[in-house]
Amino acid sequence: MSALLDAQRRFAGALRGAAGESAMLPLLAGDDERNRALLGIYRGNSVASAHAALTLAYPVCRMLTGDDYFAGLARGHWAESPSRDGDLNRYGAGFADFLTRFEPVRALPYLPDLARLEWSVHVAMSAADATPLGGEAFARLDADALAAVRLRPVPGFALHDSPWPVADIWLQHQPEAGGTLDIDLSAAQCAVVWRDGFRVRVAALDRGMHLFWTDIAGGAALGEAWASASAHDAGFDLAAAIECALAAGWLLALDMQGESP
Amino acid sequence: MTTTPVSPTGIGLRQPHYARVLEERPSLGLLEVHSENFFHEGGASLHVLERARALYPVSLHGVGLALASADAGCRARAEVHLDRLARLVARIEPAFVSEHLCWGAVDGIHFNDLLPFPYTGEALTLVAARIREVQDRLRRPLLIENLSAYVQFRDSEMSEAEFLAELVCLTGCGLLLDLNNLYVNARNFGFDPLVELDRLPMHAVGEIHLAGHAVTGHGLIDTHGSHVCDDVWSLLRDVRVRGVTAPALIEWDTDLPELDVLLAEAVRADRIGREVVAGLQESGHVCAA
Repeated sequence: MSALLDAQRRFAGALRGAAGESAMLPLLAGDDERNRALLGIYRGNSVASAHAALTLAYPVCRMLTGDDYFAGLARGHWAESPSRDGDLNRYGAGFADFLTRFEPVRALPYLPDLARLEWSVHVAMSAADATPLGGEAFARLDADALAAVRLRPVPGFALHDSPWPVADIWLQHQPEAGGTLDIDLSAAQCAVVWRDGFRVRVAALDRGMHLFWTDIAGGAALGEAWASASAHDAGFDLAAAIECALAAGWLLALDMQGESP
Repeated sequence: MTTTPVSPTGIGLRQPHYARVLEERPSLGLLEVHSENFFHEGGASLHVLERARALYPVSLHGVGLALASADAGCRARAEVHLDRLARLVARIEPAFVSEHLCWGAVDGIHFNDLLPFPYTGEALTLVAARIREVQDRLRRPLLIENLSAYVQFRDSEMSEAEFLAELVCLTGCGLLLDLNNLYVNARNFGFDPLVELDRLPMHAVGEIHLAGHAVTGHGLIDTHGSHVCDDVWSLLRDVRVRGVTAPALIEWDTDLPELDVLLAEAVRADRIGREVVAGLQESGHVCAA
């Protein structure tokens, strides 16, 4: 192995835990005890970077757990799943899964799903800018074309289905939320995340709408998605679903059958 | 007798100052951002950077390319990083693109830190090859920044400045001379910063960083969280006396103060540049242009 790679592996060992310091010390000039302390500073930097990245991506989780507890969660997540990318803004995609497995978090059972929602918000924030589709795009379609058409959502559009009221929890913790909402913590909720200009929005979604838009986002033709949403919810209103999507700006494009997306 | 004036000083542009800088447009020579914070497809922050670029020259300062990482797998992954940087460079058309003389990733883990390595012939070959790849891809020279390091390697065969001077010869890269880093290392490792400064090719300096550090029981720590100290201002004077006209830039990242504090530091850096040039002209040290 190259001497440089060997040195970097030893350095990495000392960064992952104090137990790795001993293998690194012989490579360093100067006093061992002082070098141990200095390696500790580097170790703290890596954890602090991970903590800063998670703080940016999961502000509501942090509000709910408190700063100190959140710092502990960040340390735990970094120990289990360190960053793999030179862009720290991409760190933290697996935080929700970590929370699911982390026993002490079970006192806040909605936290993992809230984290999933926050990651979608984080991703939507830097998604590609897009001009949403206007209603005129549907005007030229006859009934057959409408059934066959596939709708492409705007970049950053994401759907969530949780046994917890994640959209309400998130909305209540936004700076502009006035007063305390009366949240029924036992209520399941579906949620949608999308970019509206430069702003990321979150809203609750009823189950029929959630099923419909999940099928659409998965590439189903409009007719198929309509049929399956109607089978679940006899009162599903296709016109209202499309109107809602156009008003909110969820749609990027219509792909006709045979057109490559 | 005339000489090239010193380029006006810039500041690192950080989120809490976005609105004021864009609205008030203070007189600055340069705005610098961390490249990785704009590796986005779209969104508000990228829009801010594009607006800033319409008003000022922009410097893209990278913290994630980890040029000295020796692990082949991590280097392959860094290609994705380089793709993102190339897209940003094409979008922003920056005045400078810079990176640090450091490693950061091994065996699939990225530490997202600027880590030192032994300055050996092996490392020189590797880093020079990597800088050439990046420069070929971006079709422009990189500025490489000297590091603030807290540990030193027994096996180093040269000083950091000697290593950087070799890189300039081998790759044609420029230097981002961080005077606070130089000072922090000089204090922590007990060397004379002027001796190390004289080993650096001054003609290659394309930008100068100025920042504050913290004094701790473990030595000086490069925090970018306070005013530039008097000794570092004095180093700026030394660099200007050596004829470097490249712009200085005030970096402030932790405990970010009001914008005016950064602007006042920039004014001080500009004043030092003018004083030194005036002094050199008076004493006849500068050839007529």
